[in-house]
Amino acid sequence: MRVSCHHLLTTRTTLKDLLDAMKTELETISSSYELAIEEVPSLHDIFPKLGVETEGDPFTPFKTNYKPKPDEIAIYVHSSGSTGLPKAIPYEHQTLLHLTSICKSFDMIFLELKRLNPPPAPTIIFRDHIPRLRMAAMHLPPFHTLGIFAQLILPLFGCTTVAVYPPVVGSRELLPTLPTPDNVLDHVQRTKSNALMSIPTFLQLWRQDQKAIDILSTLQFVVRLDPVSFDQ
Amino acid sequence: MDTPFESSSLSIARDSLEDRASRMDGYPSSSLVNSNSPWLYQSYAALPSPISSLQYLEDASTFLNMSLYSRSLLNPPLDGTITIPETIEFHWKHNADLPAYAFHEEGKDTNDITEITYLEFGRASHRVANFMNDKFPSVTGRPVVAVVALTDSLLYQAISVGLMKSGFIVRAPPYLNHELTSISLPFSHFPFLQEILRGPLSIFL
Repeated sequence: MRVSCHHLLTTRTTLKDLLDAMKTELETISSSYELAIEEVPSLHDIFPKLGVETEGDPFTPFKTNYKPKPDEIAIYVHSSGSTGLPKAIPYEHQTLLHLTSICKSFDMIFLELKRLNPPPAPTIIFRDHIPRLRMAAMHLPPFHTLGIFAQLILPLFGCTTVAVYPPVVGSRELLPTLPTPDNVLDHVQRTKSNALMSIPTFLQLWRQDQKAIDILSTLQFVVRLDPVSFDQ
Repeated sequence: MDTPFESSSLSIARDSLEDRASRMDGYPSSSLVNSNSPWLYQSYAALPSPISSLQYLEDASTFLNMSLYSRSLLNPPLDGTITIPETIEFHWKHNADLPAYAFHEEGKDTNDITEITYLEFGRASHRVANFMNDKFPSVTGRPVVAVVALTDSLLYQAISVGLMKSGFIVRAPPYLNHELTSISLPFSHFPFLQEILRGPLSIFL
């Protein structure tokens, strides 16, 4: 699916080479292609009181008459490319909402449960879990469906606190934390998370490591997210 | 091993839940895990079945939310009446002081976990919407904006919601599947760049 896009939010310093290549190629194809490029707002602009903001702190609400409709497109994500090149997939607002309860990857968990227990009463997975969850999902890429599900849908519709890496991009030349199997476990413990979502690659590494298993076995559960099953 | 939750019964004895809560004391205990079963999912399979009685849920919430959380959240409706950007105002009204995100910064005391409340995250998304309004004042309709940025997840998600709020359609960059699944090395924020470099224009045209 081709999507016409003339606006770009980016990090110019850390992605300089990429942007230069992009501009060069745009010019060779179409010298009149309009592209408005803006630097992403800084962490300080968006979270001026990081972690301690209260009602009384200065704030100007965004005012608009625009009300999103459920069948409007909210975001284009990319398929994981399991069937060739990654494709842009339009997600409507209602699709995002449905991720709360309909999630193919969790079928197997439910199957497990059914085998061991009577079928569970209709509940929203994770949201209605007792005790409440602090879900570690710091290493999932924020722009991939996995990240959108874990870091956006879970806290906003799923009412689950999500543990992330501490923000470190305080100025333009800095890069975000590079996820590693070790620093995930470190942050699981440091944030006192009681559940974890991860991907097969990491799980395979952890299951060969007794120290990792010891840490993971203190959790309520570990969710295996298969990126391919999120391709629609 | 004394694990009251291996019971598969729908109705769980209340005292066993209380017992569990007191043993956990705010943090999951490894004693709940049956070491004979495969480690993945094992504790999930041993969970109590969902609780049917509302009254019971209320009672339970007083001791089961534990030290991680001061009280329960009020859940936003899932019937489609509100969308992601509208959950912000819902949470402001009902859950403003509760944590949407948590992280622990380098060098801080072990117990000094930073929480981003729904109030703060919501404000962050409003600030992004205001930012977009300032930067692109003349846009009409619902333009698509590509977000190709190396930045922290917390900020990235605030940007996503802020863009949805201001009517932009978010265009996320591609991320190749094999980067996530096949390599045994830690994956990074960077693989998507390779894909863009291979066809830089694919996200624009």
